[in-house]
Amino acid sequence: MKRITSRAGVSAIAVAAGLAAGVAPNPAGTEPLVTDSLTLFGTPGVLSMPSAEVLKDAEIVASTTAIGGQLRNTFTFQIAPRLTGSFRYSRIEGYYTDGEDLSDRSFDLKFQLVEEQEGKWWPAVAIGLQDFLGTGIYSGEYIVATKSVSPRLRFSAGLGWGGLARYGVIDSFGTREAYVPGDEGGQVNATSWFQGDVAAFGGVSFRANDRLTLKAEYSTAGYLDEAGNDLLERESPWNFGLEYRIRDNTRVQAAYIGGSELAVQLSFSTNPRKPVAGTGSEAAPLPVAGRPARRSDPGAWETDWADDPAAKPGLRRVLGEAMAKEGLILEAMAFDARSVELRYRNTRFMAEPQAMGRIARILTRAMPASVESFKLVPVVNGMPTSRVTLRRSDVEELEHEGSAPMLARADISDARSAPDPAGLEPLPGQYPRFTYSLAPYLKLTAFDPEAPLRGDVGLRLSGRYDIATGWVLAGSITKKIAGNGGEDEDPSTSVLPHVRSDGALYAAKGDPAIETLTLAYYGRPGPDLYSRVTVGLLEPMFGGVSGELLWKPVNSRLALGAELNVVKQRDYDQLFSFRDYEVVTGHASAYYDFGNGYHGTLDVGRYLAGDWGATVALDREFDNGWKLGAYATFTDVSAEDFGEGSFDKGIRVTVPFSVFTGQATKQVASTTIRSLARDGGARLSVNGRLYETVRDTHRPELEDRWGRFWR
Amino acid sequence: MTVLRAGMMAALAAAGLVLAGCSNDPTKQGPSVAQLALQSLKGRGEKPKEVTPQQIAALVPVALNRIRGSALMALFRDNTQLAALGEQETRGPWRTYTTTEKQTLTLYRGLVAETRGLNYDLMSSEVGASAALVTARRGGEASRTMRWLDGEGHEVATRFACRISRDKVEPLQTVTAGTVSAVRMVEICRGGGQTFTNIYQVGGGGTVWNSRQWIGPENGYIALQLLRR
Repeated sequence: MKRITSRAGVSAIAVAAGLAAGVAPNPAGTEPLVTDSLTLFGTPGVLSMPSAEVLKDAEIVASTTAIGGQLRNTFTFQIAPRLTGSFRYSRIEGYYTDGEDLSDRSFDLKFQLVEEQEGKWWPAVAIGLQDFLGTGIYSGEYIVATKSVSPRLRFSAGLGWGGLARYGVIDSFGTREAYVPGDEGGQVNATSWFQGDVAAFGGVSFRANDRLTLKAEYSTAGYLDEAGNDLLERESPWNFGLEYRIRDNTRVQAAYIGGSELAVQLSFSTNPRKPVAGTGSEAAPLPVAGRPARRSDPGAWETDWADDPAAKPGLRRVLGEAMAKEGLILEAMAFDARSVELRYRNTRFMAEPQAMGRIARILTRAMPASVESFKLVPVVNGMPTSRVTLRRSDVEELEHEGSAPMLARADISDARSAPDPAGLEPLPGQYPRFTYSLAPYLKLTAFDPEAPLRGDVGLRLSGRYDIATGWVLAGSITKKIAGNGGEDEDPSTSVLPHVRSDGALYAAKGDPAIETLTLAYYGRPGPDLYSRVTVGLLEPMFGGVSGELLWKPVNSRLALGAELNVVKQRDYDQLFSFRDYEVVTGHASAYYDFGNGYHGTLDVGRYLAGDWGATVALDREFDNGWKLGAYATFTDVSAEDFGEGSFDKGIRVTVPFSVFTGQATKQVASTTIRSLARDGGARLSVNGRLYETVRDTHRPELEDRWGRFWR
Repeated sequence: MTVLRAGMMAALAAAGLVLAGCSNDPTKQGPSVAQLALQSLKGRGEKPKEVTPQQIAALVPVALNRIRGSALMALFRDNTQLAALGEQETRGPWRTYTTTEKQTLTLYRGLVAETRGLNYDLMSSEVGASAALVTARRGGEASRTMRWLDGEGHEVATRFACRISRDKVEPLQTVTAGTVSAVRMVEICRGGGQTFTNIYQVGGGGTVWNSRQWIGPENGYIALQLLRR
């Protein structure tokens, strides 16, 4: 079984290399050949066959396709300008010999190797893997070329292997492992890629007008059921289709496949780079107020105001109120005649520079003329993170310029790199502080082979009590209203400790459930260092102690972290009792911001079932808050012991609310679509992990989002 | 109460909460996505109506009465939204006007250089060369740079080449300065695949009394009338 994991590892590296190439800037400013037309697999292409085309960069398309007893739900993301990734969840009626249906997950990748260039004869060329994780039933590989003859007319021709070479075989080389029904799947089966029979296919697409696209193809594709019979009858190699754009982001497609089957598809697209709600309609900031010329009004520049005992309460009140209107909470301040330092919490703006720009302008209106230095220190969970120092003269001078000159003159340092300023005092009334929220929740146990839509809806009451700086008591209770999350006909038979696979039992018995109840302390043990200790019911299935230390210099793209947890499994009822299982789990983590929005994480350590291994994650992050990523965990648990899927992997998506509302808010909705909740490679899910808490206020993120400073 | 009814009550309660939510946490304030979706469903199909001259005439005395200092009237979004703006801050040639809804326009010698609170805001502009010609009521060539944010919040600058020409001289009835002799100035700009035409009615001394100015590809043109200098 080692063989499989190492092979998967090699393939992961190959994929990463491909991604790096996809991310790399294009030579001579060429553009990839793009389309918004989909195959019946929900990928860019013709109908059954792929083309060399990719989607527009960052495009996300969700599609559902019905074709002869198969239902294919596909989520496709243009990972990089030349790299497309797809995740598919399909249901195939009567796949098994006994008439049972099959639920199948599959992943595709396509890379555009060669781009079409204006005035040059050569076509765009792409290479792709279909259903490449495991010898799944849709598995196949291809190399395909697409040439635009005119802006409306495109021809594609290519070679296919595997399922793409079911018919019209022209040659054969190497051997291809056959799919074994009932296999755990999920393994990267690279030795079979581009092996076995090969067939030649072709297609054409014609954009009749802005809304209608007509397609025809010569197909060589075919897929088999358990008994080895074709899933679709085929009387002709020719397929025909038409695709119609109903609205900008909605399309329907109908196709006649193999002279026998009718297929229909509905698809929706969105692009994180083009939020539907625009660039934000939050209220205008206050403008910068100028200072009187020193010569004409020297009195305004005097410094003795700082010794006036009324200055402190006055400034606190004025600044606190003006900032509160912007959702910025003044926690502490220090000032003298020349400078002011504000420590604040940003409850509203996704882009920290926008908060800073607004505070800077408020300060020009509130501080006497002699104050030249503005020091802004964001505080998260009681931890002061960075210190951004702005010169008031620069703020005055650059208010009507672009944002880059202001960034060039801002000084960004660690809040702990210098001792706290003299006279730094918290504002009264900051602690203790109680916040709560009551909101509905939806918990999906998605992609369960037995019941694809299994889950619960209910209400979640969360509370948070900030006792003192850095000390947080927090908890949440859920009460189910409706759902089938607790119904599981097949209890877990996992041979590993049941650290995650008893989810249905937890869902059935935990009603109401205490999801979390923790006491946490966040601190800054030294420059570049952040710490967290959390005690209590850490997550729905485990309780105990969790400690974390993070090293993250304010200007660095790299962060290193270490986490150690001593935890005990909680009872299914999710109240205060525990089961017998105990484990020491923890990871050493490296986080790296590659730039251009690409972000990598590596966690190495011991997982909840006591297994050792590593998790690799790669995310593409957009500066408006969208994130899409994928992760995979490889541990010393064998594929056999792991069960279906062979190893833990998944994709995760974070969508900011602001893209729908146009309002400034830090709220996001996040979800992880994992193959299945299995016991191998499972990580503790504790709240308040430091890296995500801290990095929005560090230089790389501040630079990325600085365009909103004057917003 | 039957089980069915209890279930329905619970479902209704949940639906209500989806729409309302409930929290004292400042990070969770504001309308929920569901509320906005509902609004957009309600709003769909109703095409906003153009502002009528009667509505404009009715707002003038109200605006002059309420606003101290310089006052502007603006028509946004294809003449469907009317707003009165009052001077909020003046620094050198820059003057910022605000509506009561906290939407602002910053003018550089009468030329719109920045907007805030309108969505797709014009972040900043370099319009010094155009402003010099327009306010001097002279024709000529000028270049201007305008900056917007893209969907990720990154600043994107576009440079425009502009031709400014002097059109007819006409008497102009102002609201607070009687009749002035105004020159109609036309500025045609091209850049970044866009073309726009701004029109200014400029009084002696370079005051831009009335204008129609382009503020971006999404927001298009706004019409401005200076009520009080």
